[in-house]
Amino acid sequence: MIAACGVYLLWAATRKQSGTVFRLVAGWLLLIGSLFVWAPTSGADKGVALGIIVIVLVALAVLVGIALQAPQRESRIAPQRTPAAQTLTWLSYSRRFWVGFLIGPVACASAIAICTAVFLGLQEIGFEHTLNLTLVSFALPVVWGLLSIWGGADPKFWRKNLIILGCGFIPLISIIATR
Amino acid sequence: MAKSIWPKASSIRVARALEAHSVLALALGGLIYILALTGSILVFNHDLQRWEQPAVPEMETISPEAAAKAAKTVFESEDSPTTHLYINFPQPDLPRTVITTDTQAFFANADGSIHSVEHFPWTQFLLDLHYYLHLPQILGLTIVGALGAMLIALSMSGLLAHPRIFKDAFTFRRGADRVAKVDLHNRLSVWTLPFHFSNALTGAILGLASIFAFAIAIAGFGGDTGKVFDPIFGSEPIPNEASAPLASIQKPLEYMQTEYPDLLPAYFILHDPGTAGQHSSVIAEHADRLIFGEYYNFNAEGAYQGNLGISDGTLGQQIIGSVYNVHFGNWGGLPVKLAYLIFGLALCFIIASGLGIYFRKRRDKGHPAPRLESAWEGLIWGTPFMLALTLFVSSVMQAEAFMLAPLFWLGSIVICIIGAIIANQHIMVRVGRIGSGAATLIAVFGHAFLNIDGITSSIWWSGTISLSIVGITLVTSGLRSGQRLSDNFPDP
Repeated sequence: MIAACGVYLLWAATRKQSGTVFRLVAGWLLLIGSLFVWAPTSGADKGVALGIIVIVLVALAVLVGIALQAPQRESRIAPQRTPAAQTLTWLSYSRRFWVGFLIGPVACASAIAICTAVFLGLQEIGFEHTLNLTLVSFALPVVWGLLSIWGGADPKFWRKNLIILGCGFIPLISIIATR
Repeated sequence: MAKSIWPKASSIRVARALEAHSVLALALGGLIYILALTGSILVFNHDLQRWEQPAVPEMETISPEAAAKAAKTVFESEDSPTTHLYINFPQPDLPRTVITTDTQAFFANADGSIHSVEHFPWTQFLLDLHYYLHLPQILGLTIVGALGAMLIALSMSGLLAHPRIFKDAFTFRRGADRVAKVDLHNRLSVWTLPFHFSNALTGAILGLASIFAFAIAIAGFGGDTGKVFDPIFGSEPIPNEASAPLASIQKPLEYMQTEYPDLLPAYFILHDPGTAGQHSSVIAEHADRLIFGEYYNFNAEGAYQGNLGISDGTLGQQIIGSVYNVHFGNWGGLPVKLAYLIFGLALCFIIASGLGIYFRKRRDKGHPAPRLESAWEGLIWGTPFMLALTLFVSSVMQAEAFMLAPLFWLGSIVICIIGAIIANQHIMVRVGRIGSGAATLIAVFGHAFLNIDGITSSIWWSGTISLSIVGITLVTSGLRSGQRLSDNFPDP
């Protein structure tokens, strides 16, 4: 019920012109509050996980309701456009191939270098081993993902190379220098 | 005019994030889709195992005496010494007792006698596909983990590319236009984000653990990966291979029954059985926790040595101990499994519609890619078709798991090539859905007929009925898809 009220307030915040901030804040607070209510029923970790599932299911149910009530729109035929001339040379193909390699194995290696350096740095200051390993294990895919986004988004070919390779080399050098 | 409280996004940032989103989706969307689809099905992997072998004795519990008797019988039947002897205890969703060694696995009766060999080739094929993409284990696991990281990147770039994410959180423009598909793609992506982000993250952690531990071990522990993981999962004692009588199996199980009656033992593991260095562990599930279980350790005489700490040790141990269950959705019974199935299928739709939107945009911009678009639909609907075909080949023609992998991959490639040749995505969708449904129905009825001796078991009925519903739904949607799809994708 609390989750449903929270989703309703968020829905209302996107519809009404006034009181939006109040509805947004109250909606999010109710959603977060619903997680705490679940905790005593099934344990702190499992209860919160169940609460998140319930929020998503409620939101999906609301979406289904909105989808069913939405008025049917006429199909719009896209205007005919003249295709833009595309000239793909071997250089552009090889650049595309390199970008794929950059956001894949190279960004992975850089992310591993960053997370390994962070692990060793935290270990150096006496951080508890298992929590340290857990933190960097969670960070690794996120860091790799961020580097990949950069590699795919940056329009400057040299800059994306510099940043992704640099992110790998700097921690690697620091690891080598301190070991 | 009132000032909007919603943040304004830079159009350059949105365009660049969309570019990254497209690059990642184009490069890896197909493999991520296969993982999402197989993962959604594998939420029910215990149920599928039961359905593949319906005529097997099922029980709610097994006595320590009977479990020990069954384990001893299997151990004594081994030609060469096994390094581990396992007992899989009955679980609510898999109420069977299985004795496993390095080379074989048998079902046990409730009295401790051996019933038959465990054999579920299609579920095993599906597990190998999802865990390793049928590649050698470490390589496959790492690639699957990498795809998890790329799914995280797709989620994050999708959020960055969505300038009105909160304002549009409940917007849906229904109709045959591209916007309906875009709206559905965006709304499902946002609201199922907690699921697919956490699943991608946990999948990536599991998959990348080996190479990451290797890197940390080289940098900080002289190349010893054991020193990286031992503080979490414990270390194996130094082996002593001198021959010894088989360790007590009954005593640890009786100890668990007496001292921890609220826990549910899931596995018993006897390490190095029949040697002087043997020792055992019981992995028991804690009902109100996300952790996969806790290790309760015993020596060869069956005396309790303490627990590992997954349930009450360091915070790191407890978090890492929860990763597996969060990923596979086996922590809350049938309701959570059904929720994971819904979210998993939503993720499949998000991936499929994402590239559908990309191809439609290309058409609108005047440079369509009909062959690529048709090949993509071939992959989307060819994957369930090939899964259904492998189910048929396995359950009706009795093919083994190792034969199913090449059939699946070769078949999927051929379907994509056919899609590229005929360059008509409508036909691929229609034929794919009808073919998947028909193959599922044939496989299910063939399996039901060949396993008629299991007709008295609940899983024979529930498996046959639910898979038949899947088959009928696919056939029906395929028959209805012709008109609807041509509405959605009017030819320019």
